[in-house]
Amino acid sequence: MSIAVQDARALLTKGLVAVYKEMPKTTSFLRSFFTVKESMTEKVSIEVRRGSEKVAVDVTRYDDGNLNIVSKSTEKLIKPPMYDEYIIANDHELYQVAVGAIQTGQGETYFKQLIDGLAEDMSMSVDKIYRAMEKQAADVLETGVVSLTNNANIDYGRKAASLVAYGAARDFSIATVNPKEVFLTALKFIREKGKAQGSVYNAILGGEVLSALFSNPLFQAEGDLKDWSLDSIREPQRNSVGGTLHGQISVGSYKVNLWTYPEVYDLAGAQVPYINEKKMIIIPETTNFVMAFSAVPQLIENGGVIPQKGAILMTEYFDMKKTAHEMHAKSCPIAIPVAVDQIHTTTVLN
Amino acid sequence: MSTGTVVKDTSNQLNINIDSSFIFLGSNSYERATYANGTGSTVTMLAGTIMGRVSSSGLLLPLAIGATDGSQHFVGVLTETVTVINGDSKQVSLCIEGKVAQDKLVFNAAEDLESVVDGRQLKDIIAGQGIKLVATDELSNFDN
Repeated sequence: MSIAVQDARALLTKGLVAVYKEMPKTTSFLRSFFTVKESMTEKVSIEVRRGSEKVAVDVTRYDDGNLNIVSKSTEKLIKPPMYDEYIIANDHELYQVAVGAIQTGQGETYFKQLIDGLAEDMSMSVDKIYRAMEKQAADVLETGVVSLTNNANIDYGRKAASLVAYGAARDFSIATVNPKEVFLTALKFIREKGKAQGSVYNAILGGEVLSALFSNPLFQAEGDLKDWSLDSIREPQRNSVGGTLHGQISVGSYKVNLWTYPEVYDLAGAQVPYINEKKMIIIPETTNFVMAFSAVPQLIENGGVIPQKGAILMTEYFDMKKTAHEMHAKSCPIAIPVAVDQIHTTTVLN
Repeated sequence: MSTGTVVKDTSNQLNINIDSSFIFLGSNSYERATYANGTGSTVTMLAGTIMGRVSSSGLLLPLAIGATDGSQHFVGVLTETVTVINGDSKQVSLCIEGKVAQDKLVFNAAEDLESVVDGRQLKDIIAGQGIKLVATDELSNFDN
């Protein structure tokens, strides 16, 4: 490849006045509902014992009483998928410059730029993994099935009643539909089947669902009631993890925070929202979900370097014969809805 | 003894329902007896099966109220699940006394606790032998 002429004339004919590097950071709104647990094992497991709300039956004075037993539970073992993203450091545009500059006395300057550049490239690679985690969380909340490409999907078996398909009776864009009835159905499921006992819930709405809700005349009418303060819709407030809070409404005996999450990921050139635009997800304010990290395969190296646990494992590999310097980011995460029936998803719009 | 039932098994997911409930709940006494399989095929009898005894041979059989060979009479509750191939015989353990979980009893096809043998219901016959049947209320359940 020939050397471009402008390489030699650049300083004389032009000046670089600004640089824009498009590096959208990954937000973590959906992951924020999952508690992080790290493990040094290949698999992770949860043990779940579902409970009941039975009522004691009175007995006579000369009765042996009612014998209660607590003997059933389910153990779920999961081998999390592995993500492995890497760059080739010596392919970086500044790598050879830095090597060459060592002879000129400017090596330190170029080396710092190289390190910054490699750090940026690795950061973008790591963001891909974080987006995969965020998508796992979205999958759990939307369907209960973590969709994987090169591994079997992980299906948490959400109850059919927690995955409500579209129906005109639940369509917020129809003027006669009362959205709060739809909310209440979801809240009753989470309370009765999921055994959640809080009074405040989070509703994560697709963008179109939010618009339809705010345009619904029955919803608007309730907000207009004089001397009642059932709902509080305010200007959108973005929080630090990317969720946008639109206010709080009252539904039956509960309060519901209205959230949207206007974040997307790239898929085959298209931008896909993490939260389906036509769906509504409701979860308790205090969730019982886990983002578990199992061990990334590692060796005990010479010199006593022991395997590490953590969310992301950064490793470097040098191959002197092939003159290759690879930098890898590896992770084995899995989003787990420990209390699986404390999620309710409704397809609101067609 | 706990039992585990695999309800999902994929390359990266294994779900097991675990039941750690007991059949024999206390103050139990046991005895050993012989079961001989002459059915023509392998037989598996589950723990909790109520057993009778053939009068002429002294061998056990699962209790059948319609039998006339003596196996219509209750002698005990099988303590462990056993599998016996055709033509083979095996020593098995029976519970003959104490508290037994009523819902863990395993009957032959037609029987239940109200089945009548010689004018008495099975539950009375079992109680008369010193076995106290206890109804249990399970407060837990398996996950989805």
